Amino acid sequence: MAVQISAVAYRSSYRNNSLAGRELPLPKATSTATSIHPCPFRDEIVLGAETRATGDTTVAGTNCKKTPRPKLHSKIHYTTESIRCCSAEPAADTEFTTAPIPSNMEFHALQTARKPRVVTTTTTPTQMLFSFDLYFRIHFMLFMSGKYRHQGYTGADLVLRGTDSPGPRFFTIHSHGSSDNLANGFRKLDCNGCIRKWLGTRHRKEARNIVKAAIAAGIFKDLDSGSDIEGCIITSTHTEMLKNVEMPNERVQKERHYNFRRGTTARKKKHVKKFAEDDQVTLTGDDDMDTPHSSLAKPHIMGTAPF
Amino acid sequence: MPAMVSSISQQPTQQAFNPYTENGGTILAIAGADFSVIAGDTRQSEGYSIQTRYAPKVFKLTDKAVLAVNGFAADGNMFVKKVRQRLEWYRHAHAKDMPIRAIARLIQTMLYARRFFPYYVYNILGGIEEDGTGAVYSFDPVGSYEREACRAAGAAQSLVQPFLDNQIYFKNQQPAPGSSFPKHLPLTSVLPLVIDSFTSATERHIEVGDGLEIYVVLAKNSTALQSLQSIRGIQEVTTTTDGERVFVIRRDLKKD
Repeated sequence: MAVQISAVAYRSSYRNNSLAGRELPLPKATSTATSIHPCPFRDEIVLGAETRATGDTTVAGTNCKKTPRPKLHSKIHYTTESIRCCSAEPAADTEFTTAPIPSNMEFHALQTARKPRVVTTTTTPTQMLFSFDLYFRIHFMLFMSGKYRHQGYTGADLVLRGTDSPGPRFFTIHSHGSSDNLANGFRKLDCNGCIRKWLGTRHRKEARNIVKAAIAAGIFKDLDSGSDIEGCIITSTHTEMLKNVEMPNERVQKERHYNFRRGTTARKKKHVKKFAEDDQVTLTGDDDMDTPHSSLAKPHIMGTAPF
Repeated sequence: MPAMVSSISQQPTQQAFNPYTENGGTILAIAGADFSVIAGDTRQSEGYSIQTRYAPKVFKLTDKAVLAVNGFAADGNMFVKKVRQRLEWYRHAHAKDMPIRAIARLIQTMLYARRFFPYYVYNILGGIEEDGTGAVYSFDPVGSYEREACRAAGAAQSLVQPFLDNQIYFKNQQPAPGSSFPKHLPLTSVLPLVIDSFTSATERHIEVGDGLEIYVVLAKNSTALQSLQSIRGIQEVTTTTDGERVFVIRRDLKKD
């Protein structure tokens, strides 16, 4: 049978399928769970997200934002100064799909001498996901199991020079690479309960409360979502990150202390190897060595600490 | 048969229905020298949704036996109902409560009776033996069982059991020179271990949380009674005057 030539290499899929058949399926990925919710009001937009990461039924991370590189582990990714991108599902995928966008947009801004529009921002992840989709769906069938979904909610800059910029915008980007500019879109139905409220929202505080309520609904009703609420407010000129919006799930104090006595771990033998020989201390001079200042003032003997 | 002719070209189709589901949650039981502690969280979930935040998984059978069920909640509830019915019949026939050793054997036969359409339930039975010692019996869904000092089952079994192995059985721990580990821990140590097991499982397992229900069964004249006085929100649920006493302790767990 002639091998069909296509743009996509199928070689690995045969290998992966055969490995899966021998009970060697591909490893499971960590998911960044999924409660993200945008709410536009007047000329601004409020984004919210919860901070749990899961791997199957195990909580892989309780507080993404407290990691040393918050931008990397946050569900809200920097895109441009007035655009942010929220992401959900496989943690590594979302990081790598959102990673090249800021630089692309910066180049675009320099090239066109305009602030990038939100719709422009969707291009990079859209094209990337489209090619990823072919790759993953064919090669990582088990790994995806029909659940793979990347949604980017991109928040907006509205005073974009041209009159065609209609105001706060957000787009949803699906894992297959399709995007739309519907004014709604959250993955979890729990958040959807809050959807009607925001249509008439005219106040920042109200918008914040709606987003908070939507994320809280996800945290408490959806097992994949949990921990804390983080968010940001995007205006035409700047973005304000809101960490610790609410922390309704603090760890409780444990009843006991779990300290182990020295020597708890069994050992069969003890062997200490000396790597450094003790230095011979030779005192020179007639000064008193016990005062710290006098010893520091003099050049000290090599290999001994100045006291 | 003309009706058959038309169906010759059709392939036989198979209809499948899976009557089982998994409702998450975790249970555990620890036996002391003269008491037994049986606990479970109260969350009932299916998939990524919570069905209810309060669905008890731990049931008092008699004043000396408490049964915890985990797995498929509908099967669990039905199983407890049937065990209770058998225990009532026993009471009518013998004018006393069935000993826990006999309840364990009864549960085995009831489970194995359904060998090829099993109750999708992991059972842990805790209580007081006729000789006054604390007992824990753990079962698999088809009736294999064993008496142990402690056991965890359910969604977070793989998180809790190693912790109990280390803290109750002192696995991977060397005693201080010239001393040895106790065979049984006092209730004052066991209760904090149970609470910590569940708060920890709640932190790391998405199907565990909402509430914690701890049953404490004390043997006649148990010395552990003293330490129960100071427990916040403890409630006695003893029904007979046989001497054994049963208490419930309820605690909140994280709800995310």
